[in-house]
Amino acid sequence: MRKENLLDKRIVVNEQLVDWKLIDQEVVFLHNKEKVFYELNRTATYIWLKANGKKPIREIIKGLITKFLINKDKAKKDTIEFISGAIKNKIFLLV
Amino acid sequence: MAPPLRNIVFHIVKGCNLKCKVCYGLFWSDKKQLMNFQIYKKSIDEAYSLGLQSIRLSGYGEPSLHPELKKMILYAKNKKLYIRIYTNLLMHRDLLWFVINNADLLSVHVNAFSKNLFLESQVRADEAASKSFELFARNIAEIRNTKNLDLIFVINNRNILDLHKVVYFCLNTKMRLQVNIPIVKNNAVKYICFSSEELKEIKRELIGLYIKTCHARRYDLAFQIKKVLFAEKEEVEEGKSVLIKKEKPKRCPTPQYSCYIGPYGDVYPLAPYQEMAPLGNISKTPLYDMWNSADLASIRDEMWFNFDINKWKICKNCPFDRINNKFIVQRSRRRAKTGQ
Repeated sequence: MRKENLLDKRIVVNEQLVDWKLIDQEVVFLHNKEKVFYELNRTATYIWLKANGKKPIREIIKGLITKFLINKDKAKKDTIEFISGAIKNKIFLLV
Repeated sequence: MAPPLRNIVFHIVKGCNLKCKVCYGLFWSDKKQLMNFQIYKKSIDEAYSLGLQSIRLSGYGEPSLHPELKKMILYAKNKKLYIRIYTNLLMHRDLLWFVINNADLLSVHVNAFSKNLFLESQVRADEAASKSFELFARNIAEIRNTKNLDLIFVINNRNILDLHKVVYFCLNTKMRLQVNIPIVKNNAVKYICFSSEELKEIKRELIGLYIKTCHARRYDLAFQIKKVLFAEKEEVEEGKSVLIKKEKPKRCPTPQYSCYIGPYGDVYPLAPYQEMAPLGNISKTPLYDMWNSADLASIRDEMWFNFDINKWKICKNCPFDRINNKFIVQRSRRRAKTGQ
């Protein structure tokens, strides 16, 4: 999928595949098939919590830039990389 | 030639002072049976020449109900045997400290850590059950800092809510923990069912616990939580599942190093022996003959080389997770090859 198309999509966490919990403001999730734990950093946690199907990815990136005061291009690049990786592994679902 | 008999599990009492709904044996419903000290002594004396190194005093029930428990412990201690005792801790203070000071390991079966759940787990939540909980709480608080202790927590759909309390208790006391996944299709199956929503919520809690134990570098506790998190589920009725062990046993080393002796001296090669014929009785047949018998040799071979879980129906109810005990498996595999 092209980057520009992806930015307008909305995403949700695939609750069938992962179980997760917010611990000390960071998400920890368990991949039920791989049987592996993943700990997310603060920025990935922000994206994870916003992945509720309400806002498109473009809006999530905007919020990320405002909250963490990071470079716009870097935020966009990293977010798309993270989200597309998660979609590929079926951790996020497009809605 | 048979391998050495390293371990004997003595079921010195059949009977219990608790009436747990989730108990797989419902031992309290039977009339109490006690092992005669002479049978116990004869078993140890005969097994000593077969290479005995350790004994386990458990019961089909609670071993501390045996009036001669102290005598039994001292006898084994004089023989320099490793003594492990399974208990629910419902015993008087002097007996408790005697056991702590003389046994090598005390394994405490915990049903629940909060009073409500403890009472709920009992068939009758009366005053006696309430007193039992108070005794348990007092005893566990008293011995919390002793070294030779571990907790065994068999989860069910109610006490899983207490798992975090048990884990925090172990975190603060350096106590070891063994979490057992319940046995499937036993008489307590209705108490160990979870709906999918309940499972989801439980898993969330457990993830939090897992991370906390990892941060505290208690990887032993983290491993136990992981066992529950990674257990598989099997549907038993519509919308309700039970957790089961992921790994199915492929072989069992038990008859290669251990045997079980019931309260009346009957000797068995395997633990869940309700449906099994004994190898013989210790008061009639020498243990040497039973341990070296052709019957037991064929059971050993079959359970190690051609183990079929469908044939050994009693093994489906085995409460022990032997296959994860790699040390025993490796040791027994070496013995099976070399016969030493």
